[in-house]
Amino acid sequence: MVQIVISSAGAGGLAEWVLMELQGEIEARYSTGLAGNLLGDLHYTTEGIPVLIVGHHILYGKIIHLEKPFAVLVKHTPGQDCDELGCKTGTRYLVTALIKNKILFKTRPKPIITNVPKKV
Amino acid sequence: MGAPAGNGRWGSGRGGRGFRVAPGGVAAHLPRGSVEVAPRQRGFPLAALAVRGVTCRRGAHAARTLGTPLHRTLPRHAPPRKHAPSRLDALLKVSSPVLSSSQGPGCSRSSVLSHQPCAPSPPGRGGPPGAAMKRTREEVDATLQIAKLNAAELLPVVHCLGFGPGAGAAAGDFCLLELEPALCQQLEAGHSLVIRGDKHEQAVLCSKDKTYDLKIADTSNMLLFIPGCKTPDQLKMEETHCNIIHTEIFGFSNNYWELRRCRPKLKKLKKLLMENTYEGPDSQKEKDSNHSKYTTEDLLDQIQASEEEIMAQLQVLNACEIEGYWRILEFDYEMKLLNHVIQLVDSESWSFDKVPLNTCLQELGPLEPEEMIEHCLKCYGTKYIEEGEVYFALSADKICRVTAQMLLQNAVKFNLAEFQEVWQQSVPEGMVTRLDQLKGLALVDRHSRPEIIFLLKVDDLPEDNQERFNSLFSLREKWTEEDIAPYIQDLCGEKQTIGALLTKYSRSSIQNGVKVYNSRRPIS
Repeated sequence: MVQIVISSAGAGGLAEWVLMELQGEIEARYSTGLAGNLLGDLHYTTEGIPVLIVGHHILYGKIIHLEKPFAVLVKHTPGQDCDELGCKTGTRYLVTALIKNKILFKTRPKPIITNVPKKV
Repeated sequence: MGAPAGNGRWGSGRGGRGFRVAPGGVAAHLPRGSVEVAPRQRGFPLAALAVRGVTCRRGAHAARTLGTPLHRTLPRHAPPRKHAPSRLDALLKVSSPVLSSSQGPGCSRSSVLSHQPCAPSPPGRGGPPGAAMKRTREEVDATLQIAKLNAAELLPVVHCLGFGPGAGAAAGDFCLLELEPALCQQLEAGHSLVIRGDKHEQAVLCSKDKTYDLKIADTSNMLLFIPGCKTPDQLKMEETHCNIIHTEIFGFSNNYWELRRCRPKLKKLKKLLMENTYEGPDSQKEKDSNHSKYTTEDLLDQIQASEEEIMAQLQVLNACEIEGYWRILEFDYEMKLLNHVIQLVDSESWSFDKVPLNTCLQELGPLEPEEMIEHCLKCYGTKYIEEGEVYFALSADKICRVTAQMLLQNAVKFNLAEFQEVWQQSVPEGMVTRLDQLKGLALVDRHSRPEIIFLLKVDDLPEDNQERFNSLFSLREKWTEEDIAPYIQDLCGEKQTIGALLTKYSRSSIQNGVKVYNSRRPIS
């Protein structure tokens, strides 16, 4: 039998993050992995519509308040960072943040077209 | 990246989803089940997006291209949903033309993605590549211009999103858990949740008082979690000084853990406690120390239910905490205690509604331990205090029921008429026996001649819905709702009625003007 504790950082101490949902996936060039790379710019219009520019694509989305919020859990395995609790109870998850809003980009991205060549 | 997007999985953006059975994140501890819960949707979402070109190459073309991102996209008219997904990968590899930018001043430095003037540094040298060079406002503005967006229509603050050094790391290190609002509040208040399960069991997540099935919901969409990202409302409310926010994407995922409220799995509790029942302080069993005993902690470790649900079930089972261990009293011992109490009430001519605790303990203390007498009073009565004195009101229904159990336990079947007579004679004077006191304990067969009654305890039946119905229908082919109700009542979830369960697991018909239910499939 296994008991895995999901503990929260404590009263009032939880950060609130935002979830961004993209249809499809993001890939890095040259398969270098995404870590450390820039994704793009996120703007909001004055009406509050999120606009994301990724590469030469522009995406329009919307903000959705989640009826069912998400918790971001980070796994802690004993031996990795051994605090007084972790050593005793084995693997556990720590609630790092809560997510109550998400930015959903569900429409097809529009290409940004500049400088159409006039050459015949 | 791993498997192509939408490879035969549900797109949650369209409402559907597929389930894997056990959470992969804890797969090291809880092996995956083998059952597919919901059929996976074949096909993939419309307009799935695969953007390449997050990095930039510096070279002859760098100045002429907008970072040369290749857009791999799906055709707008995706094949029908049932289309085999195998061709998805080929479809994804459609490349789009490379865009070229004007050769304007500063273009080579400020084109959309030339924030990284050189190829990403090899891993392990010079720290995370993105951290060193932060995008400037000028670069952002140049991008806006190229995108033909009017900066006046945008809020002044821009988020520049980059992947943190840990993003894309082993997916098991972090995960998303979908919460109910009530659970969210509990986490905010600093309470913990626990995942419980044995190697062969389906994992459940327990709060202090509720149990949830834990499943992974896959989505073909990419879920990015972004710390420090503000919503437009937040931005409008607080006047930020800087107009460029560099945020690091913590990580991303293609699935999340989904919770679904379920019934606590409590059958095992009785099984564990029945391993070693309590027969009194002087029994031989208590002198041997090698019999299994369970503390609250042990039970939490063994039972897939929340603490409050376990505690409630311990009360239902009339379990008693003896020297820190939870025990069920051996039936004969429990009856012995109850008989002592009933005899005392009779000899003192007390009312069953007003049994004084202290006098009971004084009188019966020499016979049995005081804790056991008090436990017996608690099991068969309700405690109240009057004028500083503790009294118990004994429940006639409970005493009649346990008396019937004692009578029925010794016989396979009992002639109903005879049973009713013996039963009424066996209960203390003044108590009236009624067959409805035996709901979920005994079953009457009115079709046999003579009519019979036999023991059938609901807690001896399987816990799973389908298995429960199977065993009930193998016992009796056709049931009236009145007869079956006590045996399926505990299967009802929140807002679920007996009627709904019967509709799902049985077929109804009219027999001699009475509605009866039988199995949907043949019982072997």
